[in-house]
Amino acid sequence: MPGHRSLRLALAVVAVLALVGPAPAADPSGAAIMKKQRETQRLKDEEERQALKLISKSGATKERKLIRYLLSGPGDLDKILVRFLAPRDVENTGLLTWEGKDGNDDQWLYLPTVKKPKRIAASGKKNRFLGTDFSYEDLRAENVAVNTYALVGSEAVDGVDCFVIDATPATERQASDSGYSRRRIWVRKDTLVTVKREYYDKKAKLEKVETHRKLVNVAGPVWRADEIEMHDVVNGTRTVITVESRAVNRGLKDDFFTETELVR
Amino acid sequence: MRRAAGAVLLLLLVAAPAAAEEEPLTLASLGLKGQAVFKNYTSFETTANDRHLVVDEGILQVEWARRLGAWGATKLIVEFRDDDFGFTRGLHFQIPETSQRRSYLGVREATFSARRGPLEVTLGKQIYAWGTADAFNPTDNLNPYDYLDVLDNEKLGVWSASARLSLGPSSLVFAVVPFFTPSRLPLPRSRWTPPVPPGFVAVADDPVRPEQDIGATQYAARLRTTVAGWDVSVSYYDGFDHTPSFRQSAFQVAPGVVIPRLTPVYSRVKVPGLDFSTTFGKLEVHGEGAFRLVESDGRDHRFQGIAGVNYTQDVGLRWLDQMIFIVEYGRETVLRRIRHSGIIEKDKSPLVGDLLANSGFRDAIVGRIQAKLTEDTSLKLSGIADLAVTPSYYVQFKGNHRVTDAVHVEAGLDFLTGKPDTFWGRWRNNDRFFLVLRYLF
Repeated sequence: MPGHRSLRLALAVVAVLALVGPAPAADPSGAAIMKKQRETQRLKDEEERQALKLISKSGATKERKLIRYLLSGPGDLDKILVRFLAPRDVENTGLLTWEGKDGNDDQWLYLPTVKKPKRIAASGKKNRFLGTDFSYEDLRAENVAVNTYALVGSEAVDGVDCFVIDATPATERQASDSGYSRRRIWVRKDTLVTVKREYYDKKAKLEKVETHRKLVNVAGPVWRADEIEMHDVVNGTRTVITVESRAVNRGLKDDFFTETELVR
Repeated sequence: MRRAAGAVLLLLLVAAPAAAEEEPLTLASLGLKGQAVFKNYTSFETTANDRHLVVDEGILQVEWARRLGAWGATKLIVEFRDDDFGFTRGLHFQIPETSQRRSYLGVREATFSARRGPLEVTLGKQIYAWGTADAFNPTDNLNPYDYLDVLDNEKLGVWSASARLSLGPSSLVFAVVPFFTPSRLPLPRSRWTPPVPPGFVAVADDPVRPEQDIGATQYAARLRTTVAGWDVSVSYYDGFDHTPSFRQSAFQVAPGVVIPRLTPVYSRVKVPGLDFSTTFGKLEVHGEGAFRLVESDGRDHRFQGIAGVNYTQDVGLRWLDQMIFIVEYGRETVLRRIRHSGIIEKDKSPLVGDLLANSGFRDAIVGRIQAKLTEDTSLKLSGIADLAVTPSYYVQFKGNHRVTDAVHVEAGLDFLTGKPDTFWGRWRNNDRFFLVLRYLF
């Protein structure tokens, strides 16, 4: 009888497991950590007013200001609207992004001198954002669908134990779109917040180091850094993003992330 | 020029910080911002009706904008300008603007917007920008242009009312322009007005503009949406061409001696149009087309279309960040001629060739290569080849550099070539160097 055979098999498996004893508690995989981070650190919407300080190798500084709105959407895809506030030559320039599956984003750029939004091909992800040390892809939320994550160990950062995870492009498209061959990510074990990233160029050479400071609890288990520094170790330049104000979960609607708002 | 320089100086004095112990009084603290621009155009040769080789121009643009809570906003942009050629003369404030020359002081834009839910209504002097193409927009018909310098043309605002209804990724814009504003055409004694061809004799009248009554009202609407990665718009314009056509009649100079008489008139047209834009990987693809259906004072029903691609290559070298390539093809087709209209053929007229043509996109290839060297410096090579009838060409080489966030410099060369009776060739003696300095505050 098939039913009896299944029962016998199940009993045999239980017996074998009983002999072997309980398995040691395994570390979660890199992918599981990053997925968990994406789930727990996600907000419905965010608004951040940021000041960006660009520091040259010689120590000369330039300042930029912007306001960034984000709306979490279904399928782990966000809508992001960035509007530049200063300096004067980029004031009111806007960039609207609708994240798409596999990195196929819809993106529109609004230049006040042209007075109309223009759809742009999302080819510039590896390009530097507004002359800073951040590229467009550095500023995006971690896209767990297009990267492979390997847990490579544990390490303390500022006295706090962190998972150390290597992220590499998982798809051909991501490998082509990304400016990096690998990123090493430090994620705090207690809060699952990223506190440091190292970016390695296509030749596997360290290019940039990103450090997150002044972590603040913004809602429930969600933490954000009020200061992020990107250090280009090759060129010796630094960019420091300081969050001047933040509002979260205030009910931004889909209608806000449209051409109408982009040109306003 | 002295007046423009004086205005710039005054502005800088006002913008300078006050005594250290006091709260610094800046334009920004007054809610004002703007730019001071100096332009220099140096032509390489004189023309039959213009002996000037050098034209300098100064512009001071001041903007005041204020948000009125969540429900409204207001904006005012005024311009002080002068030049040493005579493009600018006198102080005049007109609705609509019909003066041949610019005013020393003018309102560029002045708007008041009120918003309630998905509806936003804007009143005032506005600049609209419709269409997806780069070089030329057949669906963008609401604003006239200032063509006093044909290559450095400027869009002019129109006093109008507009309403925008936004529903998700879709929007519907409806605009009403109660007065007709013609484009500002090149001055008769400037290098941008080509000499009359030998053997061509005619009497030229002053332009006949539409009566400024209810019949001069122009309307336009545009419905835009985004579906599955495509931006698509349909639009409609019922109004006037802003550049004139020429009505021909006979003028008797003596008994038995009759010569042609040309009267500039403005065609009333209905223009249904469509435009789209999408991306395929790193390629942005766009297209735009419109039917120009003549209602009065026109000779032909036409179709104008333009389509092209935009490709950006990230280079990532220290001395070359990015390359941008744009290629477009523009086409204009006569759909049907209107018999006995009395309007002269614009293309290839006897004796005058293409001199009456007002579009360089009848059968044209447009190309642009832009090398973004760094975040602050770029070089651009643009060209238009008008292949209609007899080919003619316009090529521009331009460099931009951001000296600081507030100071930008732009310099380049314009080259125009072709036979004297072709679209670009009529300005073949206008090759020039240009320099633009911009200070933003």
